[in-house]
Amino acid sequence: MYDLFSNLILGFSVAMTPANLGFALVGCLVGTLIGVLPGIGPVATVAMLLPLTFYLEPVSGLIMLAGIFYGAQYGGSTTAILVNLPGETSSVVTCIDGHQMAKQGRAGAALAIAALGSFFAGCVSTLLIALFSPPLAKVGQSFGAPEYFSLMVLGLIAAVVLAHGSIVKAVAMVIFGLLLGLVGTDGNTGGQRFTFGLITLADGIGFVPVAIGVFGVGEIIANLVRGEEQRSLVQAKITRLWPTKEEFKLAWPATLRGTALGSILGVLPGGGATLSSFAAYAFEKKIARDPSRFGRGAIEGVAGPESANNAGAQTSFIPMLTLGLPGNAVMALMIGALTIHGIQPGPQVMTERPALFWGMVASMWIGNLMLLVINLPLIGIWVQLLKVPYRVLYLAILLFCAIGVYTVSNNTLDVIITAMFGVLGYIFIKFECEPAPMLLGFVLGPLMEENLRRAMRISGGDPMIFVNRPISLGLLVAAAVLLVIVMLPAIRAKREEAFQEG
Amino acid sequence: MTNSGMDTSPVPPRGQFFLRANVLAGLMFIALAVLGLWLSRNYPVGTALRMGTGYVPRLLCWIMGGLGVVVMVQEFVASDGNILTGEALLWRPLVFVPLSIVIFALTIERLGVVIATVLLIVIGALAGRGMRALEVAITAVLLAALTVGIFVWGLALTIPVWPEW
Amino acid sequence: MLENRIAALRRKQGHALQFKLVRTPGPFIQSPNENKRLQRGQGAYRGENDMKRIRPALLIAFCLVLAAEAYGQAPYPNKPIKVIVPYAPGGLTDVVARYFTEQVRRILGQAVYVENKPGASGIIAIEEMARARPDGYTLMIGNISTNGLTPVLLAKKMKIDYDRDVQIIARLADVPVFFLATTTDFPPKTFAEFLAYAKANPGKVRFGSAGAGSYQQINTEVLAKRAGGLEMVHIPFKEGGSGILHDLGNGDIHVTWFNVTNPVGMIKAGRVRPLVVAAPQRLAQYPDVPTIAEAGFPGIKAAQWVAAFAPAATPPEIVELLHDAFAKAAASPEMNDIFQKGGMIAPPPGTLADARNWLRGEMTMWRQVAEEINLRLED
Repeated sequence: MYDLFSNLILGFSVAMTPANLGFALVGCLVGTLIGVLPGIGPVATVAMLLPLTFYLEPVSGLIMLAGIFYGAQYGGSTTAILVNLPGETSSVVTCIDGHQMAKQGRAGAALAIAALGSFFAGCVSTLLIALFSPPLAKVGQSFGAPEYFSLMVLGLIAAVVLAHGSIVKAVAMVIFGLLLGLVGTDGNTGGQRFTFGLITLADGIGFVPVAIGVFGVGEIIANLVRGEEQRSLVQAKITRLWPTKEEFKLAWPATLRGTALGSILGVLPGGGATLSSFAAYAFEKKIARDPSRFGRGAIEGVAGPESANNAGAQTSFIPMLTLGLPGNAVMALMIGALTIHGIQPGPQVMTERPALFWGMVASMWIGNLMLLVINLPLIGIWVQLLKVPYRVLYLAILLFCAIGVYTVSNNTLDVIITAMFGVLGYIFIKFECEPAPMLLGFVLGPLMEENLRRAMRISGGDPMIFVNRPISLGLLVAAAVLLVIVMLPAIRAKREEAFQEG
Repeated sequence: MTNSGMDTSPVPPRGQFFLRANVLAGLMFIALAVLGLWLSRNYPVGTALRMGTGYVPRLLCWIMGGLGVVVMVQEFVASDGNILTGEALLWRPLVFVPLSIVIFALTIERLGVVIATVLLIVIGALAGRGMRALEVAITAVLLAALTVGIFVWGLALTIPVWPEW
Repeated sequence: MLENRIAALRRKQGHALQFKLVRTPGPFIQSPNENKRLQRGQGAYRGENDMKRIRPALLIAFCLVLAAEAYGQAPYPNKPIKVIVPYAPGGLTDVVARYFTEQVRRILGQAVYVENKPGASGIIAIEEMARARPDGYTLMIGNISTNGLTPVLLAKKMKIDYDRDVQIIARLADVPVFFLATTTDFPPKTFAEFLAYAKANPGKVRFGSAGAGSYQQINTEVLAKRAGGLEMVHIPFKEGGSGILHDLGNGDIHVTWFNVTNPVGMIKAGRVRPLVVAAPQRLAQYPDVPTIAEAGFPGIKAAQWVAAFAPAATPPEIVELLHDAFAKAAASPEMNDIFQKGGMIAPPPGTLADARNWLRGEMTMWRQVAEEINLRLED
C-alpha cells in the first residue's frame, strides 16, 4: 500500500507540472473537438502530432496524445445525443436513447449523465490501471481467436436484444449487416465479393460512412420530409439542464455496470472496446424492469454505454503499457512515439521508468477531471445551438457529415457511400427497421469470419476448439442462454395466444 | 397542418396492404436478397467443408429473403402494423440531400473544399423549402470559412482547399 | 429549368387539388397565395427567384478560380508535397515515414505531409501515386512488403506496370527482424532446437504472417525449404503486426518474423523469445541472439527496408533534389537519434543510381525467391 502511495505521489508530481498540465489541457480540448465532429476520430490527429512529440519529453507527449484519445470519447456522445450522429462505433448506441431524450427536451440531462458517467468510468479505470495492470493484461492475453469468435456470437445475439420492435425484422437487419460486412475480399479464397471491380472496396465498406449515412443523413432526410425545417430541432421546451433525482437514481447503477463491462472488454485488443457500449446497452435493456422504455429515452441507455466506452478506452492502455501490444491504432501510434524516445513499452517500464508510468496514470485522472470541467458548461452552449432554426442547422450538419467522412481516409468513394446509405437510412426509418442491429452485424461479421477462420487453422480444422477452451465454452453457453431468454417471451406469447383461442 | 405521419386507426386487413410499413420492409428484404443473389451469381460456392467465395453470402441472402417473407406473412395475419402515408412522395429531400453529398464528393479533390462546400450548401438548400437566397449565401460563406478554419487550420488535416492550380 | 417546370405543372393542375392527406403547401399543392404569385411571374415560395440570380455569380467565381491556374510557376517545391503511406496510422512504416517527412520539411522549407491510404497490400497507395501528376508533389513511402513483394506477387492485380511506372527516390531505413518464438507450450529455446522440433513435428508448428504474400510468409517458407523441407502451418493475420504479436504471446502461433522494435515489451515480459536476428551483425541489446548467417542461412536477408518512391515520369532534376533531401534527412542528428533508439539501421550513403541498382537487385531476388518456393497466391 505504501508503494502505491509513493508511486501516486511521484505520478502527480510529474503530471502537475505546468507544462504537463498544459499538454493535458490541449489534448483534452482537441480531443473534445474531434469527438464532437462526426467522422473524424482521434487517429488522424494523433498521427499528425506524432512527429511533434519527438521534441517533447516522452511523458509530455504521451499525456497530450492520451488526452486527445479519451477526450474524443467524451465528445462523441455530444453529436450522438444532439443530432443522432455517431462519430465512432462506440457512440452508435448512445444515439438510440440519447437522441430520443433530446427530442423530448431532456438533452441537457442526457449530456450531463454522459459526462458524469464518463468521468466516473474514467476514474475507476484509471484506478484499475494503477492497481491491476498485470493481471488485467493477462486476461487480455488469454483471449485468442476462438474466444473472440464466441464473444462475437454472444454479441450478435445481443444485437437482437438491441431492437425494440419486431424480432424477425431485427434478425433480418442483422443479416443485412453481416452481408454488408462481407463486401470486400474473401480472406480464404481471395475472391472479390460485391466489390463491383472497385479496388477501394476490396477491403470492405468503412464503418464511418455507413453509420453517418444511416443515422445522420437518414435522419436529415426524414426531418425534411416531415417538413420540420421551419422549426428548431428540439420541439419540447427544455426544462432543465441537469438530470432529475429520479434520473440519477436510475442512472448510477447503469454507470457502475457499464464501467465494469467496459473495463473488462477494453483490455481485449482489436475489437473489445467496440463491443463495450453495445454490450452495456443490451445488458441494461435486458435487466431493466420495463424494457419498453428503451428506444424512447431511457436514461440507462445513455449512462451504461457512455461509461462503458470510456472505461474501455482507458483500459485499452493496459496491454500497451504492460506488454507493448497495441489494442487499436492510437495505441500503436503511442508506441511509435515512445519508441522514438528509445522507450519500449513493456513490464520494464514500470520498474525502469516509474516517473513515466505513474505520471501517465496520474495525468489520466487529471485529464478526466479537465474533460468534465470542459464538457459540463458546454452543455448550455450545445442546447442553445439546438435552437438554431433547422432549415439552417441541417445544412451545417450535412456539411460536417460529408467532410467528416472524407477526412477519415481522404476517400471520395466513402462520401458517396454515405449519400447512398442516407437514402437507405430514410427507407429504414419509414419501414420501421432498426439500424442499430444492422450496424452491429456489420461490425461483427468480418471479425467473426476472420476469427472463425483463424481458430480453425489453429486447431487444424477441428471445430471442438471452441468448446475445449474454457473461456470460449463459457461465452458460447452464455450466448445459448441469452438466445433462450430472447426467444422465451415470444414463445410464451404464442402459447398464450394459443390458449386464448383454444 | 403538419402530419407527422403515422395513421394508426384500425383498417381492414386487406385494405392498403401494400402500404403497410412491415410489408414494405419485408419486400425490401426480399429485394435486397434478390439483388445479393444476382450480384453473386458467378461466385464459386463450394461445399460446407471447402467454402467458396459465394457460400456465405448466398446463404445469408436466402435467410434474409426468407425472413422478409416471414415479416410479410406476419403482417398479413396480424395486421397490426402502421400504414405509410404519402409523404414518401416528397422527393426533394430524397433527391437533393444525397445529391449534395455526392457533388461534394466529386468536387472536393478537384475543386477544393471551399467550392465543394458552397456547392453542397446550395444544392442541399434545394432540399428544403422556403430558403431565401440571401440566407443560403450567408450560410455557405460562413460554413466554408468555418470548415477551413476548423479542419484545415485548426486540425491541420490534409484537405485540398482550392482547386489544383 | 426546374422552377419553370414546376410553374408549368401548377398551371396545368389548376387550383386547389384535393388530396386525401393533409400537407403543408409545397411544390405540388397550391395555396391561394401561391397561385397569385405564380400568375405574377414570381416563384411559388420565397427563395426561388433569388436562387436564379446566384447562379451567374457562382459561374463567374468559378471562372476566376480556373484562371488563377495560370499562376504558380515558382521553382520546385512551391506547394505542399504529399507522401502516401500504404498503411493505417501507427505501424512502423507509418511512424518512420512521419518522422522522415518532418525532417524533409525542414530541409526543403515546404510542407510535406503524410496521407494514409491503406488497403490491398499496398496496391491502392501504389496506384494512386503512380497515376498522380509526375510533378514531384506526390510521393510514396513504402516498405519491403508493399514495394518489394506486392509488385512481384500481385502484379496481375495492379493496373499499372510497377517496373515501368514507379521509380525509387531513396532508401530510408533498414529494420532488422527477429525470428521470434513463443514461450507458451513451445519447448524449443534456440534456433537449432526449433529446426529439430519442426522437422520432428511436421504440420504442428504454426507461423504467423500479415497475410498471403507478406514478407513473413515468404521468409518462413524460404527458411522451411532451405532447412530441408519443414512443414509448418501458415496463419495469416488480417490486422497485421499487433494481431501476430498477441497470438504469439498466448501460444496460438509459435513463430514469426517480426521487426526488432515492437516486441521488446513482450520479450522483456518473457512471453516471446528471439531465436535469431536477420541483420548484418549481432545487435548490441541482444548479444546472445545469433545472426541468421551464424545460424547457417546466410542467404536469407530478411531485414525490413523502408524507401521512398515517385512516379517514373517525374523529371530527373526533381528526383535528384528529393534524393538529396531524403539522404540529408537520413544523415541528420535527429534521425540518427531515432534510428539508434528504435533499433533501426540508417541507409548506406549513396547516389540515386546506387538506389536504383539496389532496388533492381531486390526485385530480382524476390522474383527468384518466389520461384524457388513456388508460391502461388490463392486467387
